[in-house]
Amino acid sequence: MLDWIERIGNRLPSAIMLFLWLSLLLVLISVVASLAGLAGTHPGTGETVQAVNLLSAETVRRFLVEMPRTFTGFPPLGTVLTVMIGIGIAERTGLIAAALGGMVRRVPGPFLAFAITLAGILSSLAVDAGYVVLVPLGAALFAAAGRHPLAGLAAAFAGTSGGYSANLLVTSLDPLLGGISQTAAQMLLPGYEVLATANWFLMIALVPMFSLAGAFVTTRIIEPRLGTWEPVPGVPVSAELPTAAETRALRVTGWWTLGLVAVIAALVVPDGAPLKDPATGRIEPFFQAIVAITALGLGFLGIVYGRASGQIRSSNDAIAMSEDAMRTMASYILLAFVAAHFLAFFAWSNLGILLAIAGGDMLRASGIGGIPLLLLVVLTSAFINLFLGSASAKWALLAPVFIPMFMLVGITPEATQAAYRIGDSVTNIITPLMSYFPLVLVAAQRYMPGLGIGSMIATMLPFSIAFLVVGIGTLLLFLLAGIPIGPGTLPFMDPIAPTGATS
Amino acid sequence: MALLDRIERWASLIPHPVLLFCWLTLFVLVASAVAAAFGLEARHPATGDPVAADSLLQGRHLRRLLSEMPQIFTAFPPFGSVLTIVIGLGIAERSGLIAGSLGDLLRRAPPPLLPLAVVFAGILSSIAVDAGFLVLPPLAAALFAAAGRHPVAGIAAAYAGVSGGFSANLLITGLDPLLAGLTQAAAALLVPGYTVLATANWFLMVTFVPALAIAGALVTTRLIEPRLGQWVAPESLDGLLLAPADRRDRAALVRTGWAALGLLAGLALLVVPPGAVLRDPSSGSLEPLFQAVVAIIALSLAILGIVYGRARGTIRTSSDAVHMAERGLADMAIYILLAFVAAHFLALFAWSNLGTLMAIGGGGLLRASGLGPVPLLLGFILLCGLINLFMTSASAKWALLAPVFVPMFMGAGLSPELTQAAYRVGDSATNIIAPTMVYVPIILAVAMRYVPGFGLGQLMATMLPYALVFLPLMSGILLLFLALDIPLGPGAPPSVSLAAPSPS
Repeated sequence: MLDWIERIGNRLPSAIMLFLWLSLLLVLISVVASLAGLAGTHPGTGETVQAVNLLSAETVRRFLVEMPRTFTGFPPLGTVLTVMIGIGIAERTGLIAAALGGMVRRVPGPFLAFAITLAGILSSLAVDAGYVVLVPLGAALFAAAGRHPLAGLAAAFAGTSGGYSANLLVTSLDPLLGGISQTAAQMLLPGYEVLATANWFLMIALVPMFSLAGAFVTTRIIEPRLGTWEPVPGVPVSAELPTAAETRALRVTGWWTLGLVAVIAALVVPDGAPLKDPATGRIEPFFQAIVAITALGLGFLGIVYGRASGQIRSSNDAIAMSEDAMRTMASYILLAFVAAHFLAFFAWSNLGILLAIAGGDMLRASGIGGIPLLLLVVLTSAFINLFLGSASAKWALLAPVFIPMFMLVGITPEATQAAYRIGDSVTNIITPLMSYFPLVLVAAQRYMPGLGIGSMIATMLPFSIAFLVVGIGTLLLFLLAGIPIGPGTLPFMDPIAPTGATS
Repeated sequence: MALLDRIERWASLIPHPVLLFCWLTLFVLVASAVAAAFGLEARHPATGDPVAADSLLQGRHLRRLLSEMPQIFTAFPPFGSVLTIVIGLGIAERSGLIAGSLGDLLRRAPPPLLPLAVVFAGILSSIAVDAGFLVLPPLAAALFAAAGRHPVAGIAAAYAGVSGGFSANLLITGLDPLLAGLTQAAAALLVPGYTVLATANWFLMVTFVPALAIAGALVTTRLIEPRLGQWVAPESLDGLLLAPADRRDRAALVRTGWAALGLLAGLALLVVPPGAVLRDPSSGSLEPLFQAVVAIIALSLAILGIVYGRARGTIRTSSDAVHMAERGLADMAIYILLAFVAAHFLALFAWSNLGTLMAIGGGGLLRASGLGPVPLLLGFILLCGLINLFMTSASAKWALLAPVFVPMFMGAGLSPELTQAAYRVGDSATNIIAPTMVYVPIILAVAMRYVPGFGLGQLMATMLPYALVFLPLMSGILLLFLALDIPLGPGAPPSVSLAAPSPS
């Protein structure tokens, strides 16, 4: 089955040509859809959403005039390049390979995969840092342990992206989704409040579940399938024990790392610290700053290590390392260019929104009720997520359809939101339309030149299915046992209208 | 010559540009803290609001710097445009199109003609916002290299034309209405109802075009090329870029020519008819076309490169073309790094208010100097040139200077239009030696491709002769207009008598 997907997927053209063809296809569909007058009613605002012809004067003008901005407005581009400036130095001095090499060789097989998936899940606190830092790190860790780097990369990607709905803390997505749910709930019950902590207990419960599932899939399915990895020339993998000079340099770097951690703590911990929100005192700004801190910190530690080990003799050496890292990003930048335009086309044409509206309408018309319908919500959001990535944009479309519907049968808005989130995250990892997919592909191609989209999707699909099953199972457990899914938030409520009580 | 050599020797002591921007950033951090500690403050001449030096060593600036780093980076003005163009240019260059189509022709042309054409094209390019900065220097470098001449001379000629000739043009650019609006507001402080048209400096700008083009070409062939000497292609450079044309190129070129005609026809369709796609839907102006120039050039270069490459055999499958675009981007690696450091330096400099304070302070000093009108005008040009080294936004600077100088010169009988013209002279001539210019990274990156290790100091030393020629040349022409009382634009005389305000 996986081999078949891999074969079919790899028959697709290269990622860049794929996006070009998909963009062209989108243009054609938008022309047909707008000629056919395809339209839907936005359930939230009540406005009519019409398919927009991408060949209309306005969109063509927008395409040409805004091209550079469409490109740099691609969310991950700035983040990725920023982090790579620092990582480039740390990697090329050998710091990353040396630091990881000693650490991971003694770790038992399943545990490493578990740790990487767990780290990925927790990383969603720091916005995008997981994709940029953890995904390449997962590959490097596995390579250093003599295992297949693609398996490590897949575990990290699965945790970061597929496990997006699990976390130990409340993330920045929660208030966003909660706000949308609340607006939708107030259509039926004015004054109903949905807190940012609405799904917190469920999210916590999903953390170990997803981590275990990730470790299981990695060691039992992915690694046997991938076999052994032949090192590619030019990719630093420290398989040997570190030399005396390296050990000394590592020790120096360790002290500086402690100093750096102290500086960061000083910026975050005290009252009124610069990286605390001056009004609320929360450490939100710190999470936003993680990208910059990673870039500057790794760049700095790389220079320290390089100077101690003799790799960096003058500032020009460090600059050359960063420059070299940027050079390896060329294919990613090109991919970002085409992907940014494809996603912009999708948004400009309104096709994503129309798809979501149609999906919601179909579910409603299906005549199923209660918990089975809730499971269908999971599947619907998982499917729509293949095409429309933004979690909040999608929820803005689906919430007004589903939340009142479920309130009528006695399921709380919070439980509906939880079902949506589970579906929304698990398919992140198998859609090339997710804005970080190109980055992950490029990271994988470093270890396996020429790796196709099909191979990538075939590698990620088992994670996606496992997370879906585990996510649904956990949700069902909460529902059937009536466990609160967040502080003071039960999955069931008194039905609003006397239509069919479930509780 | 000896002086230039000495400047270049000093300049070569300047560290790598990436490091230099890091040091400059550190310097701004310290300077802002010192200035803020001394309570440096001034009044904004237009709004009257106090402007104070803001220490960058404060929590809120640090928080903003760290949490917005990726955004500050990608918002660096030409960043997206540069990478967009490079994608198209990478294909056009590596398919052999540029060397194949133009190399032969250029080798036979008389030597001064090439720089003349490059400077001229550079001057005219300011109509298309910043496309000239991004396209012409790399193109000129490739052309000069293909003609067997030093590519850095091509870059210098292009940069001099685009940037040094920013105030010259045959047409009215997007900058004109912007400046005129500020001038008018300043003139109204003294004479309410005084109008300044967007065409206020048009005649003068047209006169500058041939003067600067010839001067730029002469500086390139007489000063720059002899100093640069013979160019030896570095090994890192793709051999294909310089491949001489042969028989197979002819057929490929013919086919590319047809494709170019087709593209032109398509473009005409987007531009010419009333209500065309690239016209403003409400006013019908061509503003959208000018903003779309980057995209149009990038797409055209890519398409023509692919057509040529397929005919010539350098592109056989789609992945060949993809690979060429990637190589083009890989060559820009140093640009990305430079853009990263320059973007943060400029952002911090702006947050500190130091540039604004310098402009206000300089204006105050000159005003208090007690010079007569003409020396004062020359002093004003120099001041603008000096401030321009630190603060390159033409309209932001003018917003600070106009309320001080326009009424002051009106009182001395010089028209607001003339003051604006003087400002533009000073403002453009030193663009090319300003390290704070947002286009410095791209110019450096292009030069480094042909001459590894090329630094900011060498760039400054190469550009200085142009600035030293352009500044007196344009000042002289301006004084000539004043002496002969030639209008600077339609209905815009150089002098004004306050008793009977010019209706213009």
